[in-house]
Amino acid sequence: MVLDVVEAILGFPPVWQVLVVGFGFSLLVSVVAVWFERKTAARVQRRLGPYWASPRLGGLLHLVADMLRYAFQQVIIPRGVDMTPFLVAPIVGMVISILPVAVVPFTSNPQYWPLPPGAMEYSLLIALAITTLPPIFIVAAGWASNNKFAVIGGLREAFIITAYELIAILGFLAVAAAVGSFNLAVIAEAQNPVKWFMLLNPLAFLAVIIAVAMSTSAFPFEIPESESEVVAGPFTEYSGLLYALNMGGAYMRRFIYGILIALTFMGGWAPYNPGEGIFAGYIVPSLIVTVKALIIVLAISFLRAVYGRYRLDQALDIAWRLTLPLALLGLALGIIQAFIGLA
Amino acid sequence: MAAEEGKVYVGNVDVAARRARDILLGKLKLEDAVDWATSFSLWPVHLTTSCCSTEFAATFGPRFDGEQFGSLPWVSPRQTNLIVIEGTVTRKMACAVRITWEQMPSPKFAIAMGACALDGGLFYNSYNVVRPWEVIPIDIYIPGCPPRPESVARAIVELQRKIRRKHLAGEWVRTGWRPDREPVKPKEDVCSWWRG
Amino acid sequence: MAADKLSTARQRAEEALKSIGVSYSVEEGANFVEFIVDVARLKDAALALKNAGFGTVVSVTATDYPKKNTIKVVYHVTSMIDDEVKGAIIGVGVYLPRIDKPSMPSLTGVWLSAEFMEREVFEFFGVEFEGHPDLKPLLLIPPLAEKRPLRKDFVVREENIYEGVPFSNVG
Repeated sequence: MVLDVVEAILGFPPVWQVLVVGFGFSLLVSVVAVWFERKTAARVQRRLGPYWASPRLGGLLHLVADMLRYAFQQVIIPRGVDMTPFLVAPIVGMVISILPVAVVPFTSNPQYWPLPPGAMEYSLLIALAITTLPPIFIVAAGWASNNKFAVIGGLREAFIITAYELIAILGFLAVAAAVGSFNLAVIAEAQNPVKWFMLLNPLAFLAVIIAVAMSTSAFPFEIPESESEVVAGPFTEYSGLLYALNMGGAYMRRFIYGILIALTFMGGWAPYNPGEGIFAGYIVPSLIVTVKALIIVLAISFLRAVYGRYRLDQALDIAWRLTLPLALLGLALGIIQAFIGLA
Repeated sequence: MAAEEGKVYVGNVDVAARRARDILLGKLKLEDAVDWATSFSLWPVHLTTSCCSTEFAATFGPRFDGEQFGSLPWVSPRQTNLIVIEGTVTRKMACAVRITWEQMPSPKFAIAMGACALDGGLFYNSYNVVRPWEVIPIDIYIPGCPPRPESVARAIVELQRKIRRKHLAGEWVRTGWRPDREPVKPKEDVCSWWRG
Repeated sequence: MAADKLSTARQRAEEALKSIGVSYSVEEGANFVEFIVDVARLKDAALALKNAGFGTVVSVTATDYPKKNTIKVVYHVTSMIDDEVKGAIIGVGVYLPRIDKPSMPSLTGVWLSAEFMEREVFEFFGVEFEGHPDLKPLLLIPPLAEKRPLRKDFVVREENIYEGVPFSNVG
């Protein structure tokens, strides 16, 4: 009886996707991404990077050690903080940052879609709407910390939100306009096999990549947490597991954006045609999408090794004066493509 | 590098896999896993008390690369677990050292670097210098004026060994105290002069 | 070359001091000249020297003479831009009575670069500078600055090097 209920809950496709792909995969991806980030930065500086915990794995276990250490470290809650938002913000922020997976289809086979086909028509819009929520919790975390660095970091995050949100949504809408549908499965299917929007609409792709890097504080735009100016930004007062949740949340958001980009710009499961059955119809295409998302995450991580950090005003300048026109041009290009019938 | 049985810091996948299996089978206690994790993730906080910090910076620079031991200098004390006293501690800086130490979450460790941190060194018998062991509990001392970056890397490795040998982190997780010492409270209040 | 500049600078400083009618005595050092003036006319002398081109304070130093019962405070000034006297150091100083809190006018209003050095003299010798914008200890903690560490009667406690070492906790 109880098992039936548990099975019904876990077997419900959105729940299953959030737990396995959303949490499990993105935890794995964030570990690999942090390792890759540290390792490439080390290689660029002619260092070895993390190594001695597991020489044959190239030091990958160091990241496991970091996670374990954070998990068992003391959690300090300073006396001056606003307790409820301080504790709730990182947890809810991380949960919400992996929620968009609940509406993302990993296959063209309607049998394995997380939502019924009617609701699936708006999956891109729902996913985009949910991705705009987590930054609010970062701002809340900074404000609840009652620390000047945290408040300044939160304010910077708020500035960045207003800049990138519009750009990311315009970039994604360019593809939706070209295809004429908000259904992620239809969008991905329209690009099969090689008509990827990464190639058809590079302007929107570039705008979206920049916006994603900004939204997840990836390196050239690592402004809210810039360590030389505001100590650790909104997360200055967080220690132990809460900080791990905060930091993991950023990488998970990057991974979720990577999945959306993989579906809309890189063809999703593109060279492959999902067939019948759970293996050919769900597991293989979802693995393909995950690998594509991982590639995007690693590409963004690589920027850390080669770029310096922008100032806040420079980043906002880039966002409003360079990237927003780029996204608008991409949208225009998408509409033109829709008229021509290219896509 | 030859892999040595039983020492994870130069271990390989086989040893790591065996350890993982042991943890899963309950042979290896969780405390040992915490010791292992803490020893490979000793993040020192950026606290520059004196001139030894140049050697400390060189330790984490390209040539000597302290990051290969899993040790990454970090800005905010709340997310670190290691403090490296880099040379002389003046009376004014002792307050900053103590505040930083109190801000770090347990289990935490301290390395005193340079002759001045041992017994005063060049500034022996000075009116304005305190010994770091009067302010915080020190785990490893590094002699030298200044110590070479290799010495700092060696100190980090020795601290890793000490953590695993004495189960410092695991014991903290179990009991809430460091097993080998009482928490050092400074004899005099180092921050008494500081208002607000 | 340096001697030429020093003599030029000395000449210029003497002219400047004479023009405002300040009486002074000269003390010559190895590579500098010090003009000792009266405390009451120190600010005028400093202004005259600044107008003569000595725009930068190199150091503010004090010396404690317990036998003569005086404290000597000297401002060493030079010019960074005037090629004729560049590098030559001229001192303008006063003798203060050696009491608990000797007082003299602050020259921060004349040379802005004297501010931190005056704070150092204050904490190490207890000389109080009237009109200083922010007179508090710079390097020492206030309880220690109360003891005037660089005065000759400050006693440094001889320490045993093993004093207080926590042997039981080593290892």
